[in-house]
Amino acid sequence: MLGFLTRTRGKSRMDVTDILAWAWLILGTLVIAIPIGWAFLSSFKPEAEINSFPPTLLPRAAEELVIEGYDEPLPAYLWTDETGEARTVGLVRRIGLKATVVDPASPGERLSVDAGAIEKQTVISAEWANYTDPLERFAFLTYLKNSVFVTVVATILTLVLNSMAAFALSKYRFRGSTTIFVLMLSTLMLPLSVIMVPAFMVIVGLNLADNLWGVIFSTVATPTGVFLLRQYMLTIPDDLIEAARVDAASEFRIYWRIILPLSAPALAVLAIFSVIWRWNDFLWPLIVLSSPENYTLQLGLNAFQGQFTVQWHYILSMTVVALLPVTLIFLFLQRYITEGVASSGVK
Amino acid sequence: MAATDDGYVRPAREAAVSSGDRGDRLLEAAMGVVEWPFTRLQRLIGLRRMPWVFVLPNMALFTIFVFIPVLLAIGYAFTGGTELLLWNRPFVGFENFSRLLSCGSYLDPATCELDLFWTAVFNTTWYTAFNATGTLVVSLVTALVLNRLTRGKAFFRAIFFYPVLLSPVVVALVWKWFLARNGLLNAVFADMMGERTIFLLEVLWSRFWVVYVSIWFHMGFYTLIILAGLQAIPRDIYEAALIDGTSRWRQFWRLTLPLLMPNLLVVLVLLLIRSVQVFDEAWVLTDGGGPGTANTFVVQFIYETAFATDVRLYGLASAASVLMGLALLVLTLVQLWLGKKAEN
Amino acid sequence: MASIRMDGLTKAYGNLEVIHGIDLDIEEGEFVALVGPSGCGKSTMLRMIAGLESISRGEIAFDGEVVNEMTPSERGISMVFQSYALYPHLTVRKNLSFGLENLRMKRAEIDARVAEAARMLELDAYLDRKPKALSGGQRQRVAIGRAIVRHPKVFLFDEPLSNLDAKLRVQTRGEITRLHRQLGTTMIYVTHDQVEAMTMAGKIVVLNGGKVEQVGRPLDLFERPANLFVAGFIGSPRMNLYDGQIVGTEGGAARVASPETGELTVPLGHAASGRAVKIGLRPSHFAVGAEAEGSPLMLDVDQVESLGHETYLHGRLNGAETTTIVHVQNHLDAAPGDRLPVRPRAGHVHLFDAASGQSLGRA
Ligand SMILES: Nc1ncnc2c1ncn2[C@@H]1O[C@H](COP(=O)(O)OP(=O)(O)OP(=O)(O)O)[C@@H](O)[C@H]1O
Ligand SMILES: [Mg+2]
Repeated sequence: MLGFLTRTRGKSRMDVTDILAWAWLILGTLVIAIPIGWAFLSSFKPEAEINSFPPTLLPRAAEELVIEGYDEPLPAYLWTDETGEARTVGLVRRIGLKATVVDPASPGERLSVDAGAIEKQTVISAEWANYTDPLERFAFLTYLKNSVFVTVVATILTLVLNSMAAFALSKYRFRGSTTIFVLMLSTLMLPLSVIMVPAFMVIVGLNLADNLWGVIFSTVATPTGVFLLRQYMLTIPDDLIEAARVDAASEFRIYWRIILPLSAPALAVLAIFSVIWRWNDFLWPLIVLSSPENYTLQLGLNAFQGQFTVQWHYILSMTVVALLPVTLIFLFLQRYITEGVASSGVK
Repeated sequence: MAATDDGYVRPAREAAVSSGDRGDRLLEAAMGVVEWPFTRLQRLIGLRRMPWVFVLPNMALFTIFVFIPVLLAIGYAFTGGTELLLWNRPFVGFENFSRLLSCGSYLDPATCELDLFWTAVFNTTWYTAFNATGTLVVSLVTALVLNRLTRGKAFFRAIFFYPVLLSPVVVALVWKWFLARNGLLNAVFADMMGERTIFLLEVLWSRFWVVYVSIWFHMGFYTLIILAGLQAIPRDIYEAALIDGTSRWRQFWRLTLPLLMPNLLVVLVLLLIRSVQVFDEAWVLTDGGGPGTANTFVVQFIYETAFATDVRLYGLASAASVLMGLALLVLTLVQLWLGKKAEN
Repeated sequence: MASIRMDGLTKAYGNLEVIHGIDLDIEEGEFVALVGPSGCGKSTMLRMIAGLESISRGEIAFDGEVVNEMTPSERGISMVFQSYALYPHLTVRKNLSFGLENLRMKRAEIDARVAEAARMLELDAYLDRKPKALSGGQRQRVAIGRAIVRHPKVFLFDEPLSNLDAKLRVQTRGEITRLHRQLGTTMIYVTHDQVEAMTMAGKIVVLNGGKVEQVGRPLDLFERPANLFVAGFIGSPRMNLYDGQIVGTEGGAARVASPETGELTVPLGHAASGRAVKIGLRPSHFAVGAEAEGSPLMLDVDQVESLGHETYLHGRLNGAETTTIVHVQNHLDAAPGDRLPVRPRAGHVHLFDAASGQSLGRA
């Protein structure tokens, strides 16, 4: 580690700026990782644990003892008796300052002890019910399905429509092509927040309000996607297309047998971005979708946290579900993503 | 199955190849069905009009969902009532604008007819100022640090970029939990101060955390852009400086910063443009702009005026949209101008 | 196989006309080379024949049938591109079969044709490789193979050898010629390299600035260039050209003079005395040294390029300023500073009108 730390700029000695730089990196890493890690760990805590203060770092649950003669497992406590000797016992009940416990070594014998002499025992454990409950008892399974549907369909449509348009705009010179391109580019900077109302009217006019297709259709014709693909397709030599024409290929065949396979890297970048965009979309679905059965995961999560503010164990588990796909994509494809962003300025 | 797609016998690879070929052939058949109408069309209208066929689907959706709304946006701002369909709405001239802009004193939102709007404008202004400078400084420092690394650059770049990919709701909830009464920060805070603070219910704290979370969320993106700018600075300039015996500090002020300046200006304007549109994560984090209206921003005003109240004032919301659009337009023009200048 | 006729073929990009009304006949099975300097419109003309470029005015007919409005594949041509334009994501086999699949040909027929082309061009070993994994020469052959499998009526080549090294270029030249003999298909071959044109073509079309300067068999162009442009373009090293004047006519002969050549008498019927002309002498059409003993023309040698079996002398004739190149078969012992007698070979003096550049004849 030290060797790694000191290997900056090929010099053997670290100077002050090196130390400051590394301090910045490590601090930054902590600042980014801690809130997410904390939410992740907390999402496995049982409800009782999550509301206790001060919090424990790792998810813990009350330890339980199965003792002969008791149908239910008993919560485990550490009992320190008068002699100072500590023993693990099961708590039968607690009334006021007295508690009734039973030693697993002699299950038949109930002891009455001071409530102050016993201490609750916990073990590290994951509360998977945090994850299964919202899916079963609340509508999160529906939200999840809606999100997957929107993400998958919108991404496929985005790839198909954008690549067709990019093909036309990069490989043909036809009247109007520049107009179309400039028109698209000029709206690249135009945010949704400026056209919220008329865009919603169009949705209502097309009878797509409160409909997942309303979310899908309005997002697939992204100028960003067309732009990204067009820039890439411009690098494919025109000779290839002419060779294909001489080879009796129809224009459509040129598109899908020559252009599409050769644009695979750009298509992959767009696909990754599209999945992330659609999975994370918030404001537009918020406007279009009104009934809970049509909510996407982001909307459902927002609505749920507004309604059940104390159910943090559920909120956090579903938050983890919402960030999981993006995280996995990032883990495996981060090089494409960071390079795609750096080269195109797309976000 | 010994003969593959090409009719050549390749026994050694038979199994692997034939299953792939079956997929190929299936795809070929499926695409044949799609291809047929296109080929017909090409025969009908000729090659020269085919590009129109390719742009048409995308253009149609683009026109319907982006271009028409842009055209209509202005129209809404001049109509009143609560009808959604534009043609059912009465024309009211500049009434929406005059309502938005009528103020006793522009320095005091309380004297305005729509005090919420002006509160939102004020909030958005300070947010933009703090967020833009904060993000710029943090991103610049991070980019400079990353650019020095010879090892582990990709790793740290990825770490810093990761939050950018999260959804606003996720980011808001992660931080809400971090800042909660029972959250990790309070566990530390209570130790030092003796008592817990509900950060998001105190005006100053909540404003601080809204900006902080926003920087945390987006700085990775700007870091990447600045880093790309840094990497575009030719190495030999530094080598020349090294031979001249220029100190590192001087190198930064006299070489790096001036050469990076066009890039930084573009980033700054981009930041301003994005900051003005703050909504999602702040809205979820502060439970709708709270405490009170301490974190109510312009987009929230537009959204709530149009969609989240019983009386849906589309006209008023659109007028606010138009005003914001104008601000963004100015910023965009500045950016284009800067971009042009940077190219020369 | 097809014959091709072009009638007033014109191409304009907007207001810019780059091909100015070309008339040309190409016979069935002919090997025609289009040569000319860079930017003269060779590629444009070829692409119009291919159907890749629209025709602004005029007509192209294959076997008498006008093809102006036909697509490349309807015309039944195939083309080898300068960049080869191999599909980089497809194997050699797929590259060859792509065009046939587009025609919805039967699998067995496709395989047979691919196999035939692969055998002809010795590509069998590379059929499952992608173009990236091939050498320049192999790619070149795949490009030719892709043209062959379609059994076209006309082959079009656009500078197919310009990306090969010198040795491979000579070898491939031979292969294409052999292919032409074997297939007998009409071939149109664009090049700016006159050696390629001279060695391969049965007929050469010299283009300049979008116009045809001369059409003819290689030797005709060499021996009877119709104008100064062709004279300068065909033959390597270039023909030596001198500004001269007709100083007198006697019977069927004219006396022409220039500072470099002195006075020469050439059989020329129709020439007015005093007319300004250009006198052209090819480097190889000089007698030098002992052969030219007694000649009044002297060459001041500035530079000697000896290749062993032949020698090039760069020098000045009669003390004039212009450089003259003289080519001598076999080795010649000469050194810079030498003064050698030279004599233009009879029957190889070219005369051009100085104003129009048109040939006045050869003597
Ligand atoms: N799309 C175009 N628009 C305008 N002018 C063009 C266009 N394409 C070609 N030209 C012009 O037409 C002329 C002929 O070009 P062409 O490509 O046919 O030359 P070429 O003889 O093949 O030259 P080279 O030997 O360099 O390949 C050139 O002057 C060129 O500038
Ligand atoms: Mg050319």
